[in-house]
Amino acid sequence: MPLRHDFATAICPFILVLQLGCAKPTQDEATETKEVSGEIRLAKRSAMPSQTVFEVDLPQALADGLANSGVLEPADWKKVFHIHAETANGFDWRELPPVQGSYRLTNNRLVFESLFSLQAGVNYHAVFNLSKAKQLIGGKTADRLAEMKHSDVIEATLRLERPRAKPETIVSQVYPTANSLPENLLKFYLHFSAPMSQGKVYNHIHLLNARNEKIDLPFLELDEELWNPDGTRLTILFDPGRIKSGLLPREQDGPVLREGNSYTLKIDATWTDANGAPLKHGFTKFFVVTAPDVQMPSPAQWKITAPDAGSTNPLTLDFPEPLDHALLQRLVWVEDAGNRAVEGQVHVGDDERQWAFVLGKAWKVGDYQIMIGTSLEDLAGNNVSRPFEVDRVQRPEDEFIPNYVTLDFKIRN
Amino acid sequence: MGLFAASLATIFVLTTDAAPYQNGDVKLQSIGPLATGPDGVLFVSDPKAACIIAIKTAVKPSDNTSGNFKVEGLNAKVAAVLGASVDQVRIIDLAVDASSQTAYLSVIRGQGASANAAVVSVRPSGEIHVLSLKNVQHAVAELSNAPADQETGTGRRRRNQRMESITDIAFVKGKLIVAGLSNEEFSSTLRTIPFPFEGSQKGTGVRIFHGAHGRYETSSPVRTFVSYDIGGDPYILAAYTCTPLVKIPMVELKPGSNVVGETIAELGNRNRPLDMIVYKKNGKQYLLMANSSRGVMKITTEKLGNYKGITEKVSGGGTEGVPYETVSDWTEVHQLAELDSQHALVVRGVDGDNLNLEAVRLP
Repeated sequence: MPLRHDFATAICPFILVLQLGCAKPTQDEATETKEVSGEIRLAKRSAMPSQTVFEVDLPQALADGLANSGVLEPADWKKVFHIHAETANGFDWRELPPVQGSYRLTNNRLVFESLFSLQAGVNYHAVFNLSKAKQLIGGKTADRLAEMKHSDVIEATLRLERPRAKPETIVSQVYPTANSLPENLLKFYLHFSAPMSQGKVYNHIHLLNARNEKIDLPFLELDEELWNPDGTRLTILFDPGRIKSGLLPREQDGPVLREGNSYTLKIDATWTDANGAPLKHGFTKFFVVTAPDVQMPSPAQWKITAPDAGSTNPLTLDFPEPLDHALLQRLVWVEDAGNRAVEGQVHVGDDERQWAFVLGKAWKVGDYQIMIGTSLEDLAGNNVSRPFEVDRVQRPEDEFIPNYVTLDFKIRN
Repeated sequence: MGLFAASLATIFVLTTDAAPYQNGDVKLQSIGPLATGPDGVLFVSDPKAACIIAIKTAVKPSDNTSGNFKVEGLNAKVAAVLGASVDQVRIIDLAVDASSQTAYLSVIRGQGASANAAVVSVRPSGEIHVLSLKNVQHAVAELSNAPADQETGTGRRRRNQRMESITDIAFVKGKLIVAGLSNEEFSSTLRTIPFPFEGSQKGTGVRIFHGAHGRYETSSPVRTFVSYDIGGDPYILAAYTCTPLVKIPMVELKPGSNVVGETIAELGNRNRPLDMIVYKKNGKQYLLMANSSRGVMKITTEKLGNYKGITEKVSGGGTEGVPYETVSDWTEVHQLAELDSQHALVVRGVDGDNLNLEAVRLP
């Protein structure tokens, strides 16, 4: 006869007790439960409220016996009190190994704390086996317990209710932002407003041709998804084997993007964020493809606009072509005449054709230089020191490549 | 977790001991590929913290060589031990300690800020445990990350978004080799780190390039690799992001050098290598490579030694380069590791939904 235990929800309002069964319940046992409540419940750990633990009340004699049994190994405890997560359809929880965690005895309660926090929405089946507990302690205490009337096995199915996750996360931007992109475009950066779920990203990202048909395998599907540390930016690469000259993938299938055609990058709304909520809405980016870009970015061709001394206007660099959004943030900075880095804010705009540096205070008269890491790339992976692919017939040896190149400018009155 | 980077710096103690292990807790910020080394050492990569941790595992030698190793529903069972639903658990990599017949899996549980990284051990009996990282003997090698250092140098406080995924690690002749792939620039370094880790020495980076047909050369990140010998000389056989198989002599992996890998096989489009192992049978060395769409390929390494590389364009479709055979009954293999002289251990399953871990006889 299943018993209902509402008190658990009183302790933890977010806990749902699905059902709790006590084997062979009797009238005597009902009396007994005043002393031996015979319940398994979830409780918040007082020292760490975010951590939920499983508890079962023990008869006083049993608690004393266990406490005096010396050091018990987790394997011993596991026989007495084990918790199984319902992890997947098609598997009975009894077939699955128990959740790993630690055990302790506190105030006549046996407490199990899982190694990792419980997952909301998962059913946990907890089993307490009194006979096994008796075997652990042995001796007179066990004899005394044997005379007591209560259930041998207590089971409960417990669950933390999953807070309803609202779809709030969006694709906040995709770089490059231009709608005209070279045939040998190497990558997209997808920016999200909140951390996203990881692991199966390529199921949610599609490239469509002008007839809205999905293009097969346009991207390099890496097991190691290229996220930023926060999980809010994903880098996706076009298959370099279909960009680089002379390789079999390109010979067989040609480049993914073809000059003159138009495409749509599509991100499904069904992609869930890290909280399990789908995106608020999907995202599409339409673009047309231009000729391949095989030229290296050339800082000598960049236009520097330096503010006047005393001004708080930004220092700007304008490029004849869009450059890589992420690398512009990291690989271009300003140093003063003493080679000290000048602190300020970088803003990339004009479809990544402009880099602006805001000092946040008035510029002082002096000589400065803009430092440019030679790893800075354009949209086709050509960097400041070498093109995406070097034709060794035409360029037999690399000259010495510095890590940085510089552009000088002056702040004048 | 945010404190980990700081704590790493403090717990790495330089000692004169040949194996400068220390006792303490290991806290993983993230987890990537694994590798096993001598004497029960397990190398665990942590891409977010940009480090490799060598953990001295306390496992007992096993004489199980029967190939009797099968765990059905591996992902469901690993999820069960971690107390999570199977869709919240990602198995990243498999490594095997052959002497103890223990399989290790690097696993990520959950998503976002609440995600946990774990190493899970699996025994031939099917026992699955999360490896305790509390008070373990370990040593840490931090990976040099020049762009991040550069960011600090600029004095700007903007958080660095760059991260280098660790695509593969392996222990080869006293050195740990680490391949990485940046989420920003399209280039990569292959690092070699002497083990035991020495003081604060960071991995020596070698820039890797790929030459196609002796003519077109690109930076080319390495996706997976394996080491093998040709006439006693160690080589790396690497699968690049742009092409399947490239040969690099280990001797070329010198600090600061630029290495151009030579294509020895192109295996066609719509196919990516997932994992590789090298083994010996009847006195011959073989390479096995699991692929995303072409099953498992078996190649004799002695042919790799003589192979001159592809210097002409491949035409007419199909595959080119070293000859190979497809092992037809090894299907849906995602991970490969050598279990013993007779068996490989594989993680296999359709679409990654229901994975099995099983020993299979080496072909």
